[in-house]
Amino acid sequence: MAGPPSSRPGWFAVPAPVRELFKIFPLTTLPAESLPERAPERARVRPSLYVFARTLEDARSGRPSFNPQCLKWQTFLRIAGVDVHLVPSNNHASPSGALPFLLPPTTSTSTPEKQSSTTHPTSNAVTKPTTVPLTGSKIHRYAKDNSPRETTFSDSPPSRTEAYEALLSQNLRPAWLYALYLHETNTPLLKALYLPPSPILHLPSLHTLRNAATDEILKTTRRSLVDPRRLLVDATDALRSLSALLADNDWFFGQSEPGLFDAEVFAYTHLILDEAFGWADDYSLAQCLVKFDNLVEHRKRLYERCWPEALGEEVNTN
Amino acid sequence: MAPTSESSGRPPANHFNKLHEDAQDVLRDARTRPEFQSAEDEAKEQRIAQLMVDQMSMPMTVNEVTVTGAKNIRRGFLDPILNPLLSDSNDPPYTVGDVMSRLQVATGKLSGLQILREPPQVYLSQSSQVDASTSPTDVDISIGLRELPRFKLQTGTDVGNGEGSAYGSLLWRNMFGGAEMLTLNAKAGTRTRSAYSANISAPVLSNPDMRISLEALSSAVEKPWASHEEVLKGGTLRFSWLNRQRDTHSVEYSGAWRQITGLASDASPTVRQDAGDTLKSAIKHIFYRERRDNPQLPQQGYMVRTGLELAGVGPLGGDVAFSKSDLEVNGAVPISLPGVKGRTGISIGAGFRTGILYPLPLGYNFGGKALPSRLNDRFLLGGPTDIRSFKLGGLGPHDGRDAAGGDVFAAGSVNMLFPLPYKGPDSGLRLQLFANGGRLIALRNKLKSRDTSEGLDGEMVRSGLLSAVGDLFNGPPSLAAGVGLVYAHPVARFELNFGLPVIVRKGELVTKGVQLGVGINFL
Repeated sequence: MAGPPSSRPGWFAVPAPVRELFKIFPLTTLPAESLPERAPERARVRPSLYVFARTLEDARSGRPSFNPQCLKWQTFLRIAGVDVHLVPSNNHASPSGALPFLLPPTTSTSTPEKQSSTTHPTSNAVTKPTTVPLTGSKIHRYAKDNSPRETTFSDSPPSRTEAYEALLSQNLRPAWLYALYLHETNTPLLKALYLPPSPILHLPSLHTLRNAATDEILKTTRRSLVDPRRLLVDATDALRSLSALLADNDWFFGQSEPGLFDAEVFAYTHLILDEAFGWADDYSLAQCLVKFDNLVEHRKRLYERCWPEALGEEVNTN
Repeated sequence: MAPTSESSGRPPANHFNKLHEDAQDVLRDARTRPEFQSAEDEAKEQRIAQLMVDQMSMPMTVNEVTVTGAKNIRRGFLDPILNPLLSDSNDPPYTVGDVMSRLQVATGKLSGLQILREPPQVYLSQSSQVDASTSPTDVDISIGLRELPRFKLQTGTDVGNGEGSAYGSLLWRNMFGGAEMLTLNAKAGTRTRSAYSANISAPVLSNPDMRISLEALSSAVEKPWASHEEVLKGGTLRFSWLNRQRDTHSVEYSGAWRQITGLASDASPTVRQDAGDTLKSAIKHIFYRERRDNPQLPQQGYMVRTGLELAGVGPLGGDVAFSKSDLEVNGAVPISLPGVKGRTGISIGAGFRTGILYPLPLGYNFGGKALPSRLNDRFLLGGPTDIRSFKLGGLGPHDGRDAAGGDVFAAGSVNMLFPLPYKGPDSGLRLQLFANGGRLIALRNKLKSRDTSEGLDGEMVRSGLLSAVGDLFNGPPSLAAGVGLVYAHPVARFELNFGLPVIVRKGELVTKGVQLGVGINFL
């Protein structure tokens, strides 16, 4: 009974000579087989952000994703100055069931969990490359910990942020969901963005997507029916509040630098106003948005700041 | 008697003695001599053969065939089987031999349909001469059938191959009286989350050697060796037949919607890359020749199986395109020991498998870029039923713990089986010594600087595959050896092995020590 139980070999413990024999084998260990063509490189120099993207080309050149959640984090990482490699993907790949997620680089890996308590930068290079992807607030922490910019993100007062975030998720998002997923004239757009390329899979996938969107809208609006006009009114109200909040400031909450909330608002405003997005005209969130000049300006400001490379293109196309 | 025998010696005396003997005794004596015996046997055989030939060429025609006990079989289905017997068919039988051989074919067909409890019973009788339409050579044939029950419901639990599961199945034999067979299966388990399948098959032209079948499948299976779950919905239309040499051929079309989902939290980037939906549309040909005395425990003979699959090319559609071919050869030779008569139960067996997956351009874009293979389509290698002492999918490229699969593989095994003491060669138990090894290699574009995410052009595929095939034989294979106990049950083979890996590659997952294998097709 004395001593820890682990020190005594149990009935099922491997006897010493067998253990020695097992240690000898395998006699030779050869180098690993290389991974298949489609597999990403074993060593990630840059962190990989898995997002929805229209084309491979879009992802490679880092253009804004068409999904608000993805664009929010993509923008935030750009604000933080973290250079990421975009990987086009779908929800099945994500650990949380929804994109985006971030795979930290394999070189000089830092575990965000450990760093959260200690603020000094990557001193503890972890031995094992982590393959556990980061989602949501973990991307936030990662971006803050790995930002090359000296300016600290002075977090806006959490209570106020929460209230305005609720505005986005409760009022603006249902209208967005309706416009993209349920509005008939946007069906070709939805197909192009979210459905698998094969026409055979279109019908079941479309059905699932629409059901999920309806459920989501009913859940957030707490109504028994989806009322498109009401959703549009709610969205306009939300935008009005945001416009009032922004007032004449460059960034929300009067900060000197853009923060996560700016990215979140931008994720919607940019996509709503993006002319190349392919929206149908008859249910227009853009018409609600253009009324608020400061939000339009905010969108332009953040776009120019985060996608300076796109400026030339815009000028050319105009 | 005495004087003569003394003067002329024994032989003449014998001759004379014979004169006094009974003729019957002489005959008996002669008959006991071996040469006479064999000559007589021969003559007897010849006589019987002649008798048979005479009998066989005796005229016989069939007036009437009566089938009894066929409660659920359609008349129209039986006609093509029994028609060749009748005298009003084209090319009717005229002799006893003809009738007998055709009767044999017909009863063979009937019992091959898998709807009868036992082989059919056949009675012949002279046709009634009162009937004006009969001729003196006519006979009536009566065939007695005993059908199997139409429905069979089965439920049970399975434990094996690292999985526990419960299943239920319903078999509906002879649905429409044409030996059609409907099978419905449902299964749920620890690894197979759920699997439902429906299969309907029917013989073509009443011939049990030609079957056509249609199968629908829906399943969700966990694949722990690559940290994901595969949800599959698909259908297969298959036509299979036996040729004259009793080899099985089958041609099938299959379409399947595969979804890689439910990734583990630590799934590798390789698996995450391939997550999502794909649609495979493929035609496949399988050839299978079985010449082993016992497939579960081969002591003698060989087996060959080849498969060739073509997906996504031309009109096939879908969103993956490749050709996938594989070959499997397996054989055994018995070993005889000097001084031991008959079977010793000792044998040496060997098996070899190889396969290659060749990426192709999708659809009619023949000169275009080929799509690199995906996780669902690539080969896996390793496990208790192919390369023992490796984990399931334990060979080949691995990203972390995940088996990434490969495009080219070759695997071989040699084993020696010995009967157990006191058990003898007739039992299903054997001791085995084995050595097995193989390599699984992924197609890899040598020039990594070139971007291949849009696809591989023909030249890249060729050079990549050539170098992969070259690599197969360049280095030593991953190798393991050991001893074990084999038990061949009529439905499956069980192996309990103790093995150790000898050569492994980095990242490959091995099982040192004891490994249990249950399966029907071992390397």
